[in-house]
Amino acid sequence: MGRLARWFDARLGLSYEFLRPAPQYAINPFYWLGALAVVAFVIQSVSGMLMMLYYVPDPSQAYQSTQFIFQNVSYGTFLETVHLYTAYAMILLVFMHMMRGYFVSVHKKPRELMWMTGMFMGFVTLGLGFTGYLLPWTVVSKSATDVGAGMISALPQPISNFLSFLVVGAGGDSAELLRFFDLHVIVLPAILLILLVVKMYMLEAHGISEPVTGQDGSEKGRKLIPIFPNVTFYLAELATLFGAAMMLFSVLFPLVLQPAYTATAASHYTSQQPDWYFLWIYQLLKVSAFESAGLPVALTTVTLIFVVLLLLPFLDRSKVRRISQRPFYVTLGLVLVAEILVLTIWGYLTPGEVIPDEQAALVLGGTALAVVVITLLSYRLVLGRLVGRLGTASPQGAPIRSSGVWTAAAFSFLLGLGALAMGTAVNSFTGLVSTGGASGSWAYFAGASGVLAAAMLATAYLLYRVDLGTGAVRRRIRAFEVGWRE
Amino acid sequence: MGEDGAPDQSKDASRRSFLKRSLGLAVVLVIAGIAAVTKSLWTPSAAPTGTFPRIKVANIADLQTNGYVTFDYPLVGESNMIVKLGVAATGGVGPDGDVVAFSIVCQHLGCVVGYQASNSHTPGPAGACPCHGSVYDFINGAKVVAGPAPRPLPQVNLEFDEATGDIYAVGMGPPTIFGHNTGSSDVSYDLQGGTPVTQ
Amino acid sequence: MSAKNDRESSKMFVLLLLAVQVVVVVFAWLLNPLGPKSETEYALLLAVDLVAFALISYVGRLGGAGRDPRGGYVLAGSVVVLVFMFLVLLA
Repeated sequence: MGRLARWFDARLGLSYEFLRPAPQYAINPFYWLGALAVVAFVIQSVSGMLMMLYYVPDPSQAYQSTQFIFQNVSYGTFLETVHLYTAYAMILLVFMHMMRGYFVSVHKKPRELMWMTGMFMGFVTLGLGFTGYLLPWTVVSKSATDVGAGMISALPQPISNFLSFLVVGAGGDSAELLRFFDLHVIVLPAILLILLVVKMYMLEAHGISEPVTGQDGSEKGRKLIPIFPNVTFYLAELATLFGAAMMLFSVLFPLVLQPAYTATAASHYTSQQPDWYFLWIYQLLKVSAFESAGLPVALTTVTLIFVVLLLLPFLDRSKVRRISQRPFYVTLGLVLVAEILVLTIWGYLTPGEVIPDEQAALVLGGTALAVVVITLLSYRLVLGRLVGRLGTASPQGAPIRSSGVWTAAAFSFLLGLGALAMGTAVNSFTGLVSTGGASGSWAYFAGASGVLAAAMLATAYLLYRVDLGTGAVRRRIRAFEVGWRE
Repeated sequence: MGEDGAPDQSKDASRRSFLKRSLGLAVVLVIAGIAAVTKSLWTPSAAPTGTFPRIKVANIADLQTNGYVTFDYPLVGESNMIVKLGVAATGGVGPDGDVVAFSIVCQHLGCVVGYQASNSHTPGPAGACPCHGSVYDFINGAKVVAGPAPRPLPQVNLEFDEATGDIYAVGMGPPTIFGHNTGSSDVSYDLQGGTPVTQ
Repeated sequence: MSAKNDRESSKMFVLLLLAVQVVVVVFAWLLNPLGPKSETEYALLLAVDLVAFALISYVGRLGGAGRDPRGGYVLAGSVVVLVFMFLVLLA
């Protein structure tokens, strides 16, 4: 056995120091979320390739060939089920990988381009989900895709033309399905692989990022582990456990094929919505202020969110990486996660319903408020205790003071109030315009504008008081605080 | 820890090689387990539970002796031929029992079989494949009388409506049409892999 | 307990897991893919295969570095293997 291994090694170069050794602290599942996403991609490729032998990407045969896989191909249902759940797992892993990177500050120098490459890989992954979803040609999937295609066409003109052509082609169901199929099985996977190679190269060049919490940066944590065999087998353990979890899911929740798409069936299907990973976007679009005329505004907003995430390395430029020293960005990140979660769950609870502006402002503003308060309170409490126990102040920046918490709370409240007022104002304004000046809308509009103006003034005042400029104000506040903290 | 003393080193070495071998074997077994999914590639798919469509292919009044009509059955794109032979034949319908229909996808390599009113190898009309010279005796259930084809052309089961003179295709006889688990005698495979024809 | 007994028992453990893997792989290949329950059975058998491998790898990796595997992980993994094998029999 050993001689055989040596024969292969001499020729394949298995024990050649190809990848640099990893530090001990990297033997931790959180460092491997991206790798697991790649494992998921491999599972997708294998199951996808096996199914590709039977699937026909033409509207007249798409559903039937999918049904054939489910009913007649040996292991067909298994392949379909594993493929769907691993797709969901891959999207989830990619999101977790991004958020972990965000909180651990991997987007800072010198890894800015790694972050951006990763964001593009995330977009491609979402694209893989979107294109794959259409292929079974069921009522649910075609309706969801039509929603998505509608959203694309609502984007500003040159972008929407380009994307529509790319995704839908010359028009008509046949062209669309064929495009989606080609994108799904070759174009997007190829782009993903190229980006993966680029990212892996950069990873090898930069090494694994430094830990930002606790004792991981200690001597013991930094001990280097050779990639082969130790780290490789660790990855193998994670990958096989992930695979086993996918097997378990597919056994517990086997898939049943939805009914086929026909125009009449689709017209009866009123609660069309995209798949869960797009639901948060769709829920935003369901807010009444964003209906019809407001749709491009909503889509631009969502695009902006993605663009901000993409350009994060150039927005968050401070060199600070430790979580304890980045309360602002950590809070922002937690707010993002919470909002996406809330929007997704809310989307499930309200299929096909239009969301009134006030409710949207309350829910979103309330979530933001709750997260901000809890996070900043935790910073205060946890850091306060930590500082006390260790007896040393953290190198950069003092813990948030109690007045800081109140300030943050006030900010959030004003934010929520402002959002509410803005929503009501926009709503009543459009009501005014469309009904030509009904008296009820005037009252709402005046009231909402008044509240909005007040909120903006109060925010400006608060900013002034908290002082982003003169130290004099800050000194005054500190004196104020001393009185507060007994 | 002093319990083991001097033999420790060799024990360690043998333990390490045991671990290496076990890990190697474990990896091989994982790959073998995953590879078992490829069984789906060479296991023919389960026979479908569909039924053969029933479609009208011709009317007896339109068929003259040695006149034939091609039609798709049971799936779109799969050619068959219905022909009035002028001589009573196996499986023939109609007042003279001479109307038969066969798949014209050659059982050798899938070329399209043509009709010959007479052929040196057969007592009567035949199907002759231009590609490699297979000849099928249409009077005797399209059995192979010449050429490399290994089995007869599948015969289309016909029904003749005496009142109207319409002739319906209602099923297929064995063997399966070329390309449908070729060589099998389970005709339900003929319904797989395509769209059934509709009237 | 002495280091020697620990080594013996871990060796036994690994051999047992390898045997489980062999059994599972053989069954996976003997399965008739067209059977009614065969998809569920294959998924479970493969899951056993994967988890058994993860256990062997974990014990081996830590043992090779001179550290002791965490009992909790080993126990959890073994339970999972046993439960899945039981489920195969049920299915």
